[in-house]
Amino acid sequence: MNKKLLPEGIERSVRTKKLNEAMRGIKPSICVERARLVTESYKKSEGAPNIIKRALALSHVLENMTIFIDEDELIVGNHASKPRSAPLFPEFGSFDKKELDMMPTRKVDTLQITEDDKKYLLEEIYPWWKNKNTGDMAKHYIDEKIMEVLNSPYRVFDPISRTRSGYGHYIPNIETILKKGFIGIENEAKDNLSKLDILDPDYTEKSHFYKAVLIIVDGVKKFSLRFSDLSKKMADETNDDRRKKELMIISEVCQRVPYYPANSFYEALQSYWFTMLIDYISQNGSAISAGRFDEFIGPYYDNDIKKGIIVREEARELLEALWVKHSDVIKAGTYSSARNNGGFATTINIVLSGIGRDGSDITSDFSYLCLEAESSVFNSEPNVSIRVHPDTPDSFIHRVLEILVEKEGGKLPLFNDAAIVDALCADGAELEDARDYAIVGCVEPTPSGNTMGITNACYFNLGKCLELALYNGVCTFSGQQMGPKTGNAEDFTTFEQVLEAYQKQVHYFTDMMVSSLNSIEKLHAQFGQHIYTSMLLDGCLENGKDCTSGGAKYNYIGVQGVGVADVGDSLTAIKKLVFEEKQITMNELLDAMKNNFEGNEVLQQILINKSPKYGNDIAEADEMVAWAAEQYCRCFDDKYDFRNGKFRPGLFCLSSNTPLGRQVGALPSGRLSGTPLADGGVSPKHGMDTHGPTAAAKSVAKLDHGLAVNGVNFNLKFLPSILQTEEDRQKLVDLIRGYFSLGGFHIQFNILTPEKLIDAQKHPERYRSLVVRVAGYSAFFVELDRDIQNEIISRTLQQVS
Amino acid sequence: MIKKDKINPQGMVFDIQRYSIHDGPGIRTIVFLKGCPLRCKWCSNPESQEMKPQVFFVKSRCIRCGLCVKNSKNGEVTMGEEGIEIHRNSINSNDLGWVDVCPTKALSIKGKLMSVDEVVDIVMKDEVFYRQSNGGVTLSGGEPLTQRDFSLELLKHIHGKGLSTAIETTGAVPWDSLLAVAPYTDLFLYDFKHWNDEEHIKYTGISNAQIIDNLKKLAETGANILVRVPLIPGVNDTEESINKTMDILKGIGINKLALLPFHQYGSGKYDSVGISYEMKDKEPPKEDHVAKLQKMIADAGFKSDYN
Repeated sequence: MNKKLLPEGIERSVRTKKLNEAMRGIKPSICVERARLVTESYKKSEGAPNIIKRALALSHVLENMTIFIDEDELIVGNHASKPRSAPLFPEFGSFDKKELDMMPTRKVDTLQITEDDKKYLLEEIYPWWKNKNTGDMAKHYIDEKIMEVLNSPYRVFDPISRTRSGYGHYIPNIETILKKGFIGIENEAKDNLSKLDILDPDYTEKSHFYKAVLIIVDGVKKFSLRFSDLSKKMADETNDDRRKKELMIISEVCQRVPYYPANSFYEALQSYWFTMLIDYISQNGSAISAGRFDEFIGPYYDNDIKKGIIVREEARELLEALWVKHSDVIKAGTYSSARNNGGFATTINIVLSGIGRDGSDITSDFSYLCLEAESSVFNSEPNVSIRVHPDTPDSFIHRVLEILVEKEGGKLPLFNDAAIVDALCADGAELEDARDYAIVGCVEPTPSGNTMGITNACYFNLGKCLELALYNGVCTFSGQQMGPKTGNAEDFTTFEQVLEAYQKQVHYFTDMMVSSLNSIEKLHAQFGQHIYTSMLLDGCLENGKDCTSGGAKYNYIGVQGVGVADVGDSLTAIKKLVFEEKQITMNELLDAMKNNFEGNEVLQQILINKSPKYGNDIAEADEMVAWAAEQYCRCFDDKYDFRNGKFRPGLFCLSSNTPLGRQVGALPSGRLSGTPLADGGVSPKHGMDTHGPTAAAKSVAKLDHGLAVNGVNFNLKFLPSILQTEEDRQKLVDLIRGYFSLGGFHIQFNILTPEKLIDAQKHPERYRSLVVRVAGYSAFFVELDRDIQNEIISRTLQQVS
Repeated sequence: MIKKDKINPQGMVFDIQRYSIHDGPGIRTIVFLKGCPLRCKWCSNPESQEMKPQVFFVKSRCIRCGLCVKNSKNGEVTMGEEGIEIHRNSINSNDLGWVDVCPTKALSIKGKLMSVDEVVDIVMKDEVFYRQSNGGVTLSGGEPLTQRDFSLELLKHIHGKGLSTAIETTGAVPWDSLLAVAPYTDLFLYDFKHWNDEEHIKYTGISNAQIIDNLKKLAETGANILVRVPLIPGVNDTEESINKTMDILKGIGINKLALLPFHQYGSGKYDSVGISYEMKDKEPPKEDHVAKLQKMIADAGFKSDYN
């Protein structure tokens, strides 16, 4: 069918391929422009309230940063001065020379940087920020005793990256911007400011907040108008008629959105992109997530189709052009942080399908169109998630599985509406807000547009706690008395004593984690206000309060336990082999572990093979893991941060199970020292789930996912050969539905061949498009750390015949 | 060894495999029973053939710790230059402690006596998935009906729970065995190895007369039967062979037929149970050839569904 809105002259698939290849072909680099602009602005505004400084800085960036429109783009708006380059955020933290030197050569998140730029940063930018950025100031905030633990390379948890990073990790209220535009925000802020009572004890803070909002709205408006002007100018200059017409349309769209409400599908997409992009420009937090994209964009699509101003194919063309843009946003992290989250994990999550606020299915033609866009583009960004409930059409899930098989890459995780909505309600959300949940980042469910959930505040190493419990609180690597003295395991006469020692270690460090995160949130509230984010969260404008101070309707802070399968399997082995069957003594066990089972491989094999393992639907093993999961989650039952944000436990790890594993000695599960902990949060230890996917799914569902309301992660890996026919796919759909009926939150399939991955290690250039999901999110495989690549390859292939 | 007890029969089980998706409708569990009257040269479950428990050795898992040698009383196993050597003639199946001590599971025993209740407990673990997918349980082997009483009781139990039941059979059993299980069996996956009796004897060790006769009688009862031909290159994979097979099937009122292309996935297991394997070098049939035969079958009016 002919196009109605766009000029003829290029096919949808041709444009998408062109845009996508251009994006994929870019070598990621560092951009220093933002650092320069922010520093300029802060210098000029010295003495102003911090929140005003921050507002002025963002506006200054929006008004002065380099902007460009690439060839054949339909949706415009760039993150930094070049495509796929990482801007810097000196107000949050600096990189030292060593980190900068490493960036072009490090194996993960490799970033090019010129010598001039390096010099500029180290000599002109960072010296000014010394002791002024949140990262540097953190030392005055976190308790000294806790810092002692954090200074060890074998620490149980590490919140320090939070001090150097913005919040990210939330779902903005895009729908409000589409419907009301930033002019709506502007009017509300003006209105509230004018109504403020000068006798309100918080008058000063509130008036500063509203003034800051107005400064930013002005910047936002100018930003889109700059694109409108640029587009017009390019239209005037080009001789290509088709492109000229496209640029004129772009110019008109950018005249209106996001400042004014969106009037068409095209405007809705462009408004969405600007709204998301500006927050990524404003802060270095990741996982600012799109939320329920098909729900809030769908009506614009339906309307334009109905009015006959657009056809499905060109709607798809626009959608795919937008899809590609998501890969433009990359952040520069430290090497350590890149290793935890690896593969430029911006994790802009887009959620499709699920039930609406009224409880009925929202799957629409547009939901399917989004799947088609995902299938055409299929990069690690956006991170597309699928919500499933009993009324979700089988055909929708079939299409998801078809795409996974076609692409041989694990993306498109599925989430269980029934279980998640219940858990969110139990956690304090109103029913309609709970039904309107979406996924932040990888697996974290929160309500949309009203929640500052800080969903990935910290990882907590449960494996390390078990090690400390078995060695009286002493770290086996450093010899440091890291944890409390909970007794010599040799002297334990009952298994209960082991459990008790372990619980004490976990409590000791979770308390420390809570304290340190509370200190860090205070630091952000004072120096790292997120005004733009607050404009997109219900509650902040009403309350006149920034989201870092608790302005949003819902506040949480998410902390992830890692290694629950290793701990459970280890405890089962101790219980069975040491205390019940007395096959081995505690002394033998501890000696063998100290020597990393060298010279005692038989004992290691007994631990692996003669004690049941989690993931096989065996009560004895599964209940121990469920116990460890509950014990961790319950540590936060009554813990709140100063924003009245409830600490929310999760059980997922992205790729942190590999670096965290390096900090843990050998374990009684037979796991060797320094090797990865179990991947994917609640997934069975790789290679240990030998009874097939239904057994693994049942084991996983024995954990109470509702307690880990910040999210869990269950990965299943399949060979593509088991999903060849529609009948095969239907069986997997039934597996998913069965697992969800048992209360599982999340399931993710990796459908690929190990040969393919090994070949990808040898020939990265041939596999640029290979996207894999590492423990709960997806990344370009060839951009991952070698260790993590090896880890993926060694993970159990589900034996299905 | 197996108690002749019709009320509480025990079965000799060598594997129970969950999420089996190519052995009947929906998500299924296969219960593999030992004992088989045939000795097909392409058999992919060589550990199924003998009724007695067998020692199974996976060399790649062995770390040569020697624990089995230390614990063997009758020289069942010794340490050689290339790792352990198993002397199968010395094995006493009532004294397998030397196998149990293996820390790596390189050594294991294929064949375990189980009661119907024990098997039901295991297969019912996936009840939620059977209900979701209209799946259930498939008995396989070996020839499950060599353990007729056990198979019958197991099928009755599963069928009584309203779950789908299926049986993979060679048909090489007394007619009354098939007749007995028919009321409790929703689907017969009935193997048909070769239309020509001489060839049948050559490759499986027995005549096909009883198999064809039973198939005819079973069809007459109105049972739901899907005939499956293991497609073995050079044995029965010509168009002519398939045509002859179809002629026989049409003659006895069978209208569902599927092909099971030969594969080598079972080849490693021959070494593991100490049986020689003649088809090591045989290639699986070409995909386009299989597709062509499948089209032929479909064109001849045969269906290949489970329902």
